[in-house]
Amino acid sequence: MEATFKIKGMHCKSCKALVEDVLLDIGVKIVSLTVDETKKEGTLKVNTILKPEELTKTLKEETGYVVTKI
Amino acid sequence: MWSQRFEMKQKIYCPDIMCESCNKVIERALAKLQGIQSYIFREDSVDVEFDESLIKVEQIMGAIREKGYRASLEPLGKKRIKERAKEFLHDKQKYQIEYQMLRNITVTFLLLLVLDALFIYYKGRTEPTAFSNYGWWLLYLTVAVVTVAGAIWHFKAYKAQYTCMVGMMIGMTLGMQTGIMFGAILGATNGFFVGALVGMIMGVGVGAYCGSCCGVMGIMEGMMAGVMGGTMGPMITLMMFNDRVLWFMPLFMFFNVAILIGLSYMIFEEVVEGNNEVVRKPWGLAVFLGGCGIVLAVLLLIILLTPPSIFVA
Repeated sequence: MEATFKIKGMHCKSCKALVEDVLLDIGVKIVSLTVDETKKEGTLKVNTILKPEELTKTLKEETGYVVTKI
Repeated sequence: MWSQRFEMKQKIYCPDIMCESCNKVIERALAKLQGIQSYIFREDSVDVEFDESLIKVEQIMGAIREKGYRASLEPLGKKRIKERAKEFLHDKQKYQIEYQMLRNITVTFLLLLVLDALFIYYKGRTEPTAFSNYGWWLLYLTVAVVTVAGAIWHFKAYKAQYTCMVGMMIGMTLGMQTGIMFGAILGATNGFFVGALVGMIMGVGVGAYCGSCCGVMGIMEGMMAGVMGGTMGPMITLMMFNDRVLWFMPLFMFFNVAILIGLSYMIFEEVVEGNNEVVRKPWGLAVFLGGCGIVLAVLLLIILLTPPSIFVA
């Protein structure tokens, strides 16, 4: 099931690497992940069976970023 | 059975850690390993405590490198020359531009010797001693043309942003080397006026052209070096006329070419290596050969058509 999220706090290439790393570990397929370095915000599109609340919780725990579903 | 604990403390240098996210990426990599007891992030390193019987430091560094970060037991500064020399011999892909430069220079040098031979032949019809008078000077002239052209080719093969510091260095070095080499040689063959004029014009031209990569400051420094080199060059050869100048020239040329090599080395290290934004756009061999041919032909014409110096008359 496809879902899109906004991630607040991403400001560099390694922030992207971190999110990719976490998602890889929990087996979530990334459709796209783009980072706006000036706005310090990332847009994440995924295809997963996980519930959105689970995803946002895991991401926040592992990365510290605030994740909201859009 | 008693299990022994081999506690090891090791500082691993990771110069690429830039922010919290990098720390977290490495934390996650370390968390997957067995045997890590604790770790502290410092400014450019991670101090790790681990049980040596469970994990080796190479494995820890491997896990860090897998995430895309450099890891080493020594502080990572610039590569030492010996390391780079070894890498140069093995990694033809990384140094493809440099290998192309060497090929261009070699091929062009050999082909330009034909122009020199034509000159000697033409001069030799009215001057039986043409070869002994001009031989060395033509050799040095050809070396100067291909090495300066090679250095410029190498510099222009990479499209990148140049800081003022680096741009100035490039403009100054290429301006000075062009001026002093061509000034010295043309001064020897055709006297102070021609030598200084040619040296200065070539030096200023090259210096300004190459220094322009960083703006007016680079152009100015390049021009200054061209004036200095172009006028100093003929002084060297003409004042040494009675004092073994032909013994001096090989060493003089050697040092000047070494300086050009050093410049190309510096450009690679400061501007190219590790820079993801650099674009490779080298000029082809035909352009290089054609350019060198035209420059050498013009210089040979100048040597032919302007009054010869006491050296060669």
